[in-house]
Amino acid sequence: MMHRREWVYGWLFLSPALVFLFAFTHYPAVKTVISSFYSTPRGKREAKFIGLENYQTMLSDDVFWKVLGNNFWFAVGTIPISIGLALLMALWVNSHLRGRTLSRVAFFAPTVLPLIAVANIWMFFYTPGFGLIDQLRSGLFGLPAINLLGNPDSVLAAVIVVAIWKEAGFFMIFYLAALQSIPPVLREAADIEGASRGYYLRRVLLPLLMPTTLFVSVNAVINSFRLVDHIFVMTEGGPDNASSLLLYYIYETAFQYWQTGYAATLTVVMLVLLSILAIGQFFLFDRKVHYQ
Amino acid sequence: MQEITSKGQTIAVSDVSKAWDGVTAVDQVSLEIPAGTFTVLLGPSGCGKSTTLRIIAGLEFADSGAVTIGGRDVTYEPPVKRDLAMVFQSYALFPHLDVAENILFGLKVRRIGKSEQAERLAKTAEMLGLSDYLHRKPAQLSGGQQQRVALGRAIIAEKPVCLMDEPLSNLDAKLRNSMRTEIREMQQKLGFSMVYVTHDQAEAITMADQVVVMRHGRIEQAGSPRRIYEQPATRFVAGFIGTPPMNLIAANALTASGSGASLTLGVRPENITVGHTGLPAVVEHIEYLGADLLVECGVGEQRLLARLSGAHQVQTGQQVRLQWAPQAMHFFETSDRGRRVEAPAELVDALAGLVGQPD
Ligand SMILES: Nc1ncnc2c1ncn2[C@@H]1O[C@H](COP(=O)(O)OP(=O)(O)OP(=O)(O)O)[C@@H](O)[C@H]1O
Ligand SMILES: [Mg+2]
Repeated sequence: MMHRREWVYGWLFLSPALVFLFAFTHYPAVKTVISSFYSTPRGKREAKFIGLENYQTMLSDDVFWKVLGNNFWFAVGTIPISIGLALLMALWVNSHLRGRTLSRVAFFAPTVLPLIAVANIWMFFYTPGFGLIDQLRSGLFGLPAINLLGNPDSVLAAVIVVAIWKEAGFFMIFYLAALQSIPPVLREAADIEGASRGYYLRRVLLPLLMPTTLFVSVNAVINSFRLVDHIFVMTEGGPDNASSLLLYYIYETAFQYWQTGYAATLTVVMLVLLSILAIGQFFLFDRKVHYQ
Repeated sequence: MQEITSKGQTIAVSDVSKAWDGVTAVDQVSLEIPAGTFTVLLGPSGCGKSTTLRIIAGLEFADSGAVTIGGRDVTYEPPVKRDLAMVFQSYALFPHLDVAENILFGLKVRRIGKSEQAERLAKTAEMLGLSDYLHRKPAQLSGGQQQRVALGRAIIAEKPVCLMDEPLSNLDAKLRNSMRTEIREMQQKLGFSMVYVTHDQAEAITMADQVVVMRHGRIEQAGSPRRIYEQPATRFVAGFIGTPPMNLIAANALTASGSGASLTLGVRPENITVGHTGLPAVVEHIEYLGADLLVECGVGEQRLLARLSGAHQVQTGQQVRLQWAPQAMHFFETSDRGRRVEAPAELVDALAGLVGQPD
């Protein structure tokens, strides 16, 4: 039996964290769910309960479907490549190559920079006519200028590249930390048994990195919905919503069109999507993940 | 299928040196390990035992000198090409693989057939008493069981050479004793050549055919445990082997004439007895060990430790007379590397006259 005093202490210690958690996470989340069933208040007209009307609007909203599709391709384009690159860079940096410190810094730099700054750097690369890409195209191959960000067919890809550049360095840190926690004697034991580099990678390193891969991929999925800073700087979702993502669309709906009820609905959809994805990943990976 | 009991192979290390950033870890080491024998590298921490072993394994490469295994020069060959097995101090088990997969790791790398894998696994697990644990992960095993898995991985392929770097140092004393016997029995049964690193002399003495005592990256002495104990080749070996090790005092401290000025006299505590005649001494400290009694005696400025039977009744401050047989005396150079030397006859006679014959 726990003493009453201890019980009180327990709650006292928990309360600061709980207050913040409720005030800034739980309360707004619940409020959002509630708002999604109400109309947007305008002037003197109060918000009133309208049931599923916002959800019906959403289902017939072409922009919503387009943005969701964009987000899908954005996720598909960024997640596997950034994780794969992160792993490659971590393996590279972790091995005893010359210039190790330099490459660590180089790979990590994009992570330290805020995404806004990264986006500005890439704006310089992409600028039609005198950006780095066009300079190379005309200088080396004599090709005409192209406007990668102005073309609906290429804009999403251009934005994906920026996200990969930013994300890979960040995920590399986790892989690097995980690699460094693997005792080098395992490599020696494998050497004695005659395992090749590839065999060791497949049968020892990758399985031991599984917890990191799970962690990183959950983060990558969440980030693929969360990373929109560069959209503000580079494209503002255009042209023709070709580079708009779900979170950016929520921002537009809420703070540019002031349709807060509908924005709440979109937010609920995003929360549900993220939860399903995160939980799904844990179940999917669970059997393959080795925890020490 | 070929006969699977392996024959050991000769290992020869000749003139091998290895330095890191100017710090010499191994200094012109030469070593012969006859096929099928058990050799122990023994020495204090940092003396280069592990480095020597790793050079034999191919995990480290010598700066100069050569390593041959079975007459084949492998100095610059990677570990795979040396056809050997190794047990690491930390066991180096793969944490994500179960016991069976850990033991089979090498066979899987070499794509040995499934049925042969199963057969060998059953045999090895049986021998090591691991049959009930084959599907456990290393984290679910005790230290001793993990140790056995590491042994299993080393012996399953029945390689002609097996290397072990302090494999028992993480186990408690009792388990260490039983594993010692088991490893020795296994080595004799399977007949591979063993190189075994330890800093525990009891381990070295009980297991080895050949003990190699190292210090500062050099070999002080290589020989059978009996030879190392009875005829230490240097002052260092004399002061390292034995519990407690040999008494080492300036030879001229005891003789009235002061002869033997540049020599060190060594006498083992267990060779000293007390009697009615002999070297006068004062008991300064007593340590009762049950069966034995460790008595520290002062002879002038010198200290001598005697290991007597526990039945002796002595008190601190008591005057005693110490005796030992002339053949229990060892002499070493005081300067230089402290090599064992033959003492001049008159010095031996003078000392023998002093301590008399044990009565
Ligand atoms: N990778 C390395 N880099 C630099 N110096 C090293 C390295 N490995 C060993 N040394 C040095 O070489 C010397 C011998 O080391 P070694 O590991 O062979 O000693 P050891 O006899 O095995 O000692 P211990 O009983 O403590 O394991 C030590 O002075 C050690 O500091
Ligand atoms: Mg060592």
